[in-house]
Amino acid sequence: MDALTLTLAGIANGSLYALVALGLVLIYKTQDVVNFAHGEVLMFGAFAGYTAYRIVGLDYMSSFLVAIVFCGLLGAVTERLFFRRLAHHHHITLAMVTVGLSFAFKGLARVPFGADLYTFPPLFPDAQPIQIGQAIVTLQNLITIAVAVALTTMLFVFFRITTLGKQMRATQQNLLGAKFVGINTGRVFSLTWALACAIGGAAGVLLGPSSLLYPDMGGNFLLKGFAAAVLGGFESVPGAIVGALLIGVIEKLVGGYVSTAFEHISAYCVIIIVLFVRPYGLFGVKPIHRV
Amino acid sequence: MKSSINGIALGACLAVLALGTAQAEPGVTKDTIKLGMFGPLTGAVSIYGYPINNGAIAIYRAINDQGGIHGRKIEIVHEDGACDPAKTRAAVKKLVHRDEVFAIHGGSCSAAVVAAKPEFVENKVPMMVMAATLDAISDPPNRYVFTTTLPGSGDGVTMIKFAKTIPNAKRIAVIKHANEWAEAKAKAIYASYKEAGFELVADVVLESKANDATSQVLRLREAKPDVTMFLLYPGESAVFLRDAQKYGLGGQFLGTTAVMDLVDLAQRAGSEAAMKNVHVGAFLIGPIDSPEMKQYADIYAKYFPKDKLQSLSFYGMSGALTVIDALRRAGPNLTREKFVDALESTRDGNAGPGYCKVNFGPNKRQGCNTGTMWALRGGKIVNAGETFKSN
Repeated sequence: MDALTLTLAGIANGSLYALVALGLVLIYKTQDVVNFAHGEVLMFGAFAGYTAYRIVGLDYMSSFLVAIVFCGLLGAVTERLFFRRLAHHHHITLAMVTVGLSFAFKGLARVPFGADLYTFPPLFPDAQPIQIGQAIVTLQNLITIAVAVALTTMLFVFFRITTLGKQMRATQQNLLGAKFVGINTGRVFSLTWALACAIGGAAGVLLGPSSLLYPDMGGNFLLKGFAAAVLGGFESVPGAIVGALLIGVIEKLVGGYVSTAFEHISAYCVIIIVLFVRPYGLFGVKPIHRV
Repeated sequence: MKSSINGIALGACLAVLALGTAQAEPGVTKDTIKLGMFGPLTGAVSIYGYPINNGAIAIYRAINDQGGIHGRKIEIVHEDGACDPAKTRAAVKKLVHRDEVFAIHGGSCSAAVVAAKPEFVENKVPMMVMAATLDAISDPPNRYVFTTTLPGSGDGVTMIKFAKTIPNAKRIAVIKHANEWAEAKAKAIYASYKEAGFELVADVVLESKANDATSQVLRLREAKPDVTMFLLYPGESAVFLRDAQKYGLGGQFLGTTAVMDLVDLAQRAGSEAAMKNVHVGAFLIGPIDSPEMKQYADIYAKYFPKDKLQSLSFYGMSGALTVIDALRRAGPNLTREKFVDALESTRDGNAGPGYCKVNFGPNKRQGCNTGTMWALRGGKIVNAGETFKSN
């Protein structure tokens, strides 16, 4: 069995999980909401890219940008319409709203696309798999990994360098404090949702060529992204990325060396073990409550 | 005089009683026969919902336009089971108790039909399975349950028989979903591969909704099979074939009847090259654009002109034609028991686009047991196998 081939396939899948997990963590850190509609954001991204590429006839890069912008706007509108007024409600209420949105988004996607399966061609459809020693990797997988790395790096730079990024971090760390120093937290909420959903949209387009497009395609990836965030620590952006990559690689190695029947449950088994040892995830920190 | 008055009164009473009995037969009026239909109209597998049910509805509408059956038109009551066992059982309950249908023609998801089976069996409502393939639905036989769809075991048997015709093929491998749908087909393969002279060199699982089959393909490649049988849904079949080509998995590939739409499969797998060594089971008389299928394609297009014509469009037609034939033979004084007797006595019935003659019997509820194999050559679906009887 070729460990390197399995690892590369795992990293490619893990990169997609990482983008989903990033979106989940960003929203959770800002508003304490687990967005159960995030899988559907990925689905919208895939269909937006498909529409731009296959139906409108735009080139691949423009279609990619269309998907990112579309999902970014969707995120901002969703926050403004559904969450701004409910921001102070219990997090269970907010989570239930996202569950409702998940169903609504799937229903909306079925109006134009029905229940059929659609295919999104790879960026280079005629490219042959690349042989690296014994390992085989596709160009599409390499593109997925490269784009995921680039997006993640841009996000880190954005948070560290820009004023807006610093305002977002401040709001995540202390909402009341951020308000006191004059940060427009409403705008930060909208921008966080826009950013998280734009990343989800990018994941949708990247996933398109390796999967099939249908309105329910997001559910599986939401679970994996959620698992990655739990593994890494729901409050930690680097944790979500490391967790996602670990899940991707563990799945493939277990499938290759242990049993294919355990491939999809292996990640969850690892999470249970990790959470026994570190209940706040690999990179999570136990919250300190002042009394 | 008195006795003749008594006789008239008795006759009138019997007539009223008889009329009352006739009217009491659920779902039957002077003008209509109410049939219940259910399927996954919403949800993740709604791809098997309307396209399949609409094929049956098109046949019923065509017969209505010809004047109906003994003057009665077929009326369809539709319920959504969403391929979910609990929802499907609730849907069948509604059809039986609220809508009081005469019979049911429905069910494309095996687990959901199994869950709902007690409802039509206990209430003695005749049931024609729409497209679900699990053997356990109709075997062991129950008086009220019939199917004209090639059962899952038939799929497995067809694949093994075809594998025997492949020169020098000795080593077989199986890749399957971990569910009862795939298991029914796999069981037939496990039961007969040794007798057919094969060695099973690998048996791997691919989860449904998987978007990557790297681990599975690498395991199969290591086992060096001559023939790999993929018992997978259409989407996952495409993922498997794409990765098989990517990682250089050799040999022949045999698929189930679930992937009869080979043109779609090739598109989803990314290229026709991935289909070079692929054969799949089929229970239709020909590809959808073949001359044999034209009359059925025309019927579908007449009643559902906006629908995409696909193999699924024909899955429900053989059941509908069999139901119509039995309703005719059951006569104008229709009862459920007469209808079941008529269904049971079906011999060499017309399966329409189905690749069989429908035959039921007192202990036989699977009406169609023949399948063949198709391949994609030059962008066209061609018949690549002889007729394989599964029993």
